Amino acid sequence: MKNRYLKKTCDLKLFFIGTPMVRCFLQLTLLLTANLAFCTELLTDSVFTNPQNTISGSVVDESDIPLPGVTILVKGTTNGTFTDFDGNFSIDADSEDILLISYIGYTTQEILVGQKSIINVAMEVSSQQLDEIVVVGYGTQKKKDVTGSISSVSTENIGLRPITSIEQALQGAAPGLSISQRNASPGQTAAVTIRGVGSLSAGYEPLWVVDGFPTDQRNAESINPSDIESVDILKDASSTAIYGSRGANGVIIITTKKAKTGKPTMELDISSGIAAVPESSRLDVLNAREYVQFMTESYANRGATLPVEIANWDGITDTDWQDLVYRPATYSKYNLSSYGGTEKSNYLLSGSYIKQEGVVIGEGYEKYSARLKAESKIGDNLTVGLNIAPNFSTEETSGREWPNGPNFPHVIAALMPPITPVRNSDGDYAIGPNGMVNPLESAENFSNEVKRFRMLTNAYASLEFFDGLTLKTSIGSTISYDNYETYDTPTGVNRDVNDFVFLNIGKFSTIGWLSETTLNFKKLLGNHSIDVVGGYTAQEDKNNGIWSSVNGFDILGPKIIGFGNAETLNSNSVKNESRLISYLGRLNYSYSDRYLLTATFRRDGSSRFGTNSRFANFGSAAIGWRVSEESFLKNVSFINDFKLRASYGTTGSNSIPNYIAKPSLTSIRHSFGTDQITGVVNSDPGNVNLTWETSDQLDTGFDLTILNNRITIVGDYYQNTTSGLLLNKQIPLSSGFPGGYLTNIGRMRNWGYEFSLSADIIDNEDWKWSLGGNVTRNWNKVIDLGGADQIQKWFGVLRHVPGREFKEIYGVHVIGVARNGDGSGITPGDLIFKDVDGDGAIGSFVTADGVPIGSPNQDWAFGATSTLRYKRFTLSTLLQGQAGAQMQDFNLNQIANGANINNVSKRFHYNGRYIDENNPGNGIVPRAGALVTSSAGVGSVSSIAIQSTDYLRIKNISLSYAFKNDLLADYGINKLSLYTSIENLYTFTNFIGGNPDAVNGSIGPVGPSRLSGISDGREIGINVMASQPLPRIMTLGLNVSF
Amino acid sequence: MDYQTLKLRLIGFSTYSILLMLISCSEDFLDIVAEDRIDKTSFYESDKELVNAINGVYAKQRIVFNHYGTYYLQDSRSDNAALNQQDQPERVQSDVFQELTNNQEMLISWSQLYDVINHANAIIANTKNVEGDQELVNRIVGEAKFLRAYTYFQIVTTWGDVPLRLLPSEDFDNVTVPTSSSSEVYNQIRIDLNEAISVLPENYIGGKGFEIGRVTKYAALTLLGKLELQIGNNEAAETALRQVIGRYRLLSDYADIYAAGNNNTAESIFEISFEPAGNTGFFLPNYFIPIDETQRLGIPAGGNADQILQFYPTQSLIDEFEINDLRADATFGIAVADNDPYVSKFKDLGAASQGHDVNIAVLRYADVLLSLSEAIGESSEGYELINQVRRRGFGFDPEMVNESVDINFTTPGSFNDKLLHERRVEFAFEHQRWSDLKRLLNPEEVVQLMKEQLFQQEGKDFEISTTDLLFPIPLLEIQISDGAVTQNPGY
Repeated sequence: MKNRYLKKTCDLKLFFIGTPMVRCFLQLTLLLTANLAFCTELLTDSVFTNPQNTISGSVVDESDIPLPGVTILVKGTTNGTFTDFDGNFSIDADSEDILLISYIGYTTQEILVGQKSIINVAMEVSSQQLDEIVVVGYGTQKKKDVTGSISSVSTENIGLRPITSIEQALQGAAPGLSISQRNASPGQTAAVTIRGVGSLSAGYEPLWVVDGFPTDQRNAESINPSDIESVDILKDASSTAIYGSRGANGVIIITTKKAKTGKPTMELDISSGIAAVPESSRLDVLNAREYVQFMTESYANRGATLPVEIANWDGITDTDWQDLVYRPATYSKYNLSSYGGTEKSNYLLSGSYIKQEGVVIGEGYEKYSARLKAESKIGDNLTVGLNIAPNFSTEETSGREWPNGPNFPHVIAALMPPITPVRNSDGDYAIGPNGMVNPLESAENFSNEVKRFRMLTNAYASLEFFDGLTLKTSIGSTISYDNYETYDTPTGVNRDVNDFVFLNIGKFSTIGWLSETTLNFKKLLGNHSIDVVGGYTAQEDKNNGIWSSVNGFDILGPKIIGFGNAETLNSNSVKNESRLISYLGRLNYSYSDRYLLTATFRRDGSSRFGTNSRFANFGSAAIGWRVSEESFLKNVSFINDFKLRASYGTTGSNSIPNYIAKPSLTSIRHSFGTDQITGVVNSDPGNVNLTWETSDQLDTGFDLTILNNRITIVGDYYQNTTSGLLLNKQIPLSSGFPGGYLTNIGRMRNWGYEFSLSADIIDNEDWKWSLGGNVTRNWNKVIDLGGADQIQKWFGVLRHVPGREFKEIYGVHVIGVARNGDGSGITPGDLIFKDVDGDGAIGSFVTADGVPIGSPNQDWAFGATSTLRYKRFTLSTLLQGQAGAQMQDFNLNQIANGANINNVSKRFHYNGRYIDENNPGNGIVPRAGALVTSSAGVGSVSSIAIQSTDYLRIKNISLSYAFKNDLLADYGINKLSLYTSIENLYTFTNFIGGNPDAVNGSIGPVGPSRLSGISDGREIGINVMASQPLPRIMTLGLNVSF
Repeated sequence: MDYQTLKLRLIGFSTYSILLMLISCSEDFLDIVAEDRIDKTSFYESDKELVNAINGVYAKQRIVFNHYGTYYLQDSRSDNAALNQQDQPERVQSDVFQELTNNQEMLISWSQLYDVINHANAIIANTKNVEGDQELVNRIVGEAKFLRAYTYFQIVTTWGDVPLRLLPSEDFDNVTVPTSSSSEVYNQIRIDLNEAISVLPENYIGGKGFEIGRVTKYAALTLLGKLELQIGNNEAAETALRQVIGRYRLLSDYADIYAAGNNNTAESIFEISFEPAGNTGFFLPNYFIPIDETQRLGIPAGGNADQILQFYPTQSLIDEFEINDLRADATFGIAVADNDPYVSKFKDLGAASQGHDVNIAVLRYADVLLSLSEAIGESSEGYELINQVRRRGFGFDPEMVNESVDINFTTPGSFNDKLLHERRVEFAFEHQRWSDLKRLLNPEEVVQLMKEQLFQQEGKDFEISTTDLLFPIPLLEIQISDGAVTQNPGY
């Protein structure tokens, strides 16, 4: 009966009926609200009150400055208040009552009221890390109670650094977290992984949660970094299982700054500076004299005729192309924020503008962002709040990887011979040999602009029924609009061919909503402390897009599709959506603050998967033992806290494109004569059983705080096994599906150790010196590929092989450079390759002579910080690096470019090369031209071009000075500080080229190997073009609040 | 009722109702209709849908012919064309008979051809009740059968014994098909063609679903004739081909066959249609023509800059053309910059970024004439058929006896040699030569011819044996089939 009734109400035609889910959600909300209102009434009635005395007082901080917004609570009751702007409060309390006085960042004090009617309190800054609050999924926890592996990243210095997005601030900041800036153009996305790459083909990026809203990296990086209050990295199943099907790759929770209670305050932060490419991180190409020498040898060695351009070099022209395309670029940032409020309502408003010019001509990035947060308490039990954060950014690049790429000016500049002048005598841009386009002309004629608008909105209401039981419901939306515009005018030999003018315009949007309802219950019963949360969430994302491209403009200038040749018009649209529905629950239990237990559960249903396997359950269990609370350690004075943790659980990854599980058909064009027709052909083969990749994660670790809380050490061992890897199962090619179909097969594992240390070395009135460091060692192994003995990527240069590391680099092994009479039978000066299979002949890398020659997986990642304060000066330093990964650098080897006249790296090709038997060189670098010959044959992929990507970088150094408050008060200024900061100061590395993190572009000759639409598709382990160096940015800034 | 009871009831009721609602709503919620694609399970149900489906098969066939693999399988394998051996080994090994069984380019061609088969099978083996014009539906099934037959003809002449798939691939757990003998494949082609002949029209009226350029009865008859020739049933070939005689005519100018923009000419029986305006242009000529030559000719599409993927005419082909044979100029050009010959047959001077507007007439009337000549053998009529083609090639009226170019019993050489010569110059780069050699010469002769050709071309000896007349079945196909698909001898 009830069932039928509900079915009916579910189908009620509400006036704004959208999806069935909206109807359901509305029903749910109505029921809940009715229910809540009723319960509240009952509860309010039952509260017992008795007459008390009024106590008043004031609260000040460690420097006697009044603290507004401090919570004053009568212990064991809900009776509480806040201090006002001047730090004063008044509260009714009995003489037996105890006042709890608490404020974030300060030690909570308990004061017995007694006979006092005035109580003045001086708060002390909490040195106890243990009181720190950690943001976890759907709630917060005290650090001391956490059983999972969570790293909280200090955001203290973020505001000082000349960065545009949060990922840059997270590099090196936490163990287990790896961030690679693969493209150094301003505004580009970095690759982020937690505890290694956990998937062969699906997305491996962590889930980003912004103020409780599970979203993607693009939304997270659109946040103004100065708005961020805290970043918590959730790494093991205990902490991520609450995110179920999206938790397998870790979770990064970003919490933005909260509105603060107190008098309205305004804070202004301005900084500006200059960015440049250090000489040391450019590609070490040859100058004209060296180039002519090298090419002369190269052509002679190959028995080829020296091109006339080289033979006829005037002896004078020596163009430093990199010098021409790199430039000093400006950086500027303006932040203005304002906040204030009473105990009933508060707000925060912030606006910011960041502009970073690219160090490569024609590039740049701009971002406008704003944020509004407001919260209000209605009655005693109900809190409502609203967050709105719109932002708008523009990225400009003067080239792109596709089509006709890579045509970035810095890429061409690294290849362009130095003997080509910038301009011909007639003033036109000179064209390089073989029609190579002049990088300056390229920069002028190729433009690529991406405009992004993002807005995250969240409205919530939370109702406290009675002490400890809180219901929270929230509705959020995410809106993103991306506009792409590419406009090329022809260059080089095609300079006047207007048929080549190309315009591409694309507009893509994602609109999503999220509804979450959670019920939280916290209670302390004697020695038993419980904290339970249960909830229900539903989320939907709709993607829409349209793009058009056209060639052939007779009139240059207008960037309008209609001006192009209609015959070349190409246009299409994109439309898809995804939905996720979830039930979640978590229990935190602790007994006498000593024994901790966390159990987590989530059931997720996703529209992305096959109809037979849409729902799955995820969960984890974790225990913690605070050994330091045991009697045998309690009296050991140098140990402040010692906790052992262990967790095990299962999470998933649903990072696959929408609809891929559905067998489907798509349209295709054809013609009969001039009649254009439309056909229908197979697209996704589909798989009704397709489901999640599942990750079984084990973590054990400890937290140790010693020596009067001055040293904290955290260590973890983890092991994550991903099974049901989303891989294409090969079926016979003759089936018509040569790519096979996507299914869940295969297993891989990541395991390793993480350690972090923080220490207050010196801590006195004038001096404070803190050091921090973290190191991660990760191992990786492919266990099973569903029976396949290997999966090849990128022509077979990269391979997954069971029992070996993920995505190893294969190639022919180079033994050395041949010498006369060494018995190798190889022409002196050429490379000797290893005949691995001993068949007497060297085969190419796809034959048995192709062996693993490198691995793109980093073994070690590390970061270190130092903060040194002397009186009002603070100097902070951040170091960061990685080790153990290699790359196959086709850019160095130059085989990707076809032409043999490109300029080359001095260290790789020129210095120490074999010239003749009297000048045999260093035995590593072959004679000029040897690589041209060998790379057309068996040496196309060999160990010669394997580069180590190890590096240690002085990522940032910042110095700030805070003016003394009493000097400023007269001017109405609360706080004033000046700072200077240098980003990417220096990188220690043997890597040849600009950026060891660089990788091949998303559209290589064989397409992205990852499932399209999920990942950036970049192929770790391969580089085919000169990478853009990370710019060194120096800024000066001012921070003032009044 | 006291408050306590009321409260409990309310909470109980709400909890219960919420749970019910969540469960009843969630399945609906996750059912999203994909609006960017067609649900395969509810397609192939009306005549209109079948029109779209068959159009897709034609498009898939176009993709085969827009891939350089079609040249690896015919002209570059033969003595007509050579590939730049400086290019990536995978791309050029087949030219010199060095391809490995896991050659990626061969694998692509194999997969593309079977992709056509799979799409045709979806129409032929469709078990749904199709609504609409049943005559149209039958015709479409006939078109699908022709396209399947054409594709299997390409496959079987290239690889020999191959999997014979007649059903669309749907159940992926059960999708392996073992090798069938080539005679079974030929047999199936004959069945398909005979069924196609019985339902296909002689021509099309034009209009949506009836576009001129779709497969006709005569295309099926022509292919049937070629099939019978291939397997040595010359009488059956003659019967089929004679039905096509007089239905088409030779164009007076050979160069018009491949003139840009010419569609479905009077000589064309079935062609692969390319149309830059519809974004379905022909791209292979971009590889054929060197960039300096496209610049000289002002072809906006540009040409081959890196000399990779370049496919060029052999000297022996160039020498094969007689003086005054106008077909030479229509077939290859000589680059002004470096005197290198290049394939110019399919060039479209107006080609831009959308490719060349040239169709490949895979079945044309000259082929009917020469095939019929081959079927009836050395005879006056046989010579007359060859001579019609020759006369047009030299710029004369095909129907008028012409002493200066006509050949007859007394012309030196065997009839076979004369046929081979005529076919070579008439159909250069039209995906015929390798099959012609294998059909008209015995295996040892082909091996000898190719050895000499490769020595002339590359200046060194290559190991070739009679087993090289068939390409290797892609290794992956054999591995996945667990041995159900077998490798050709010699690999």
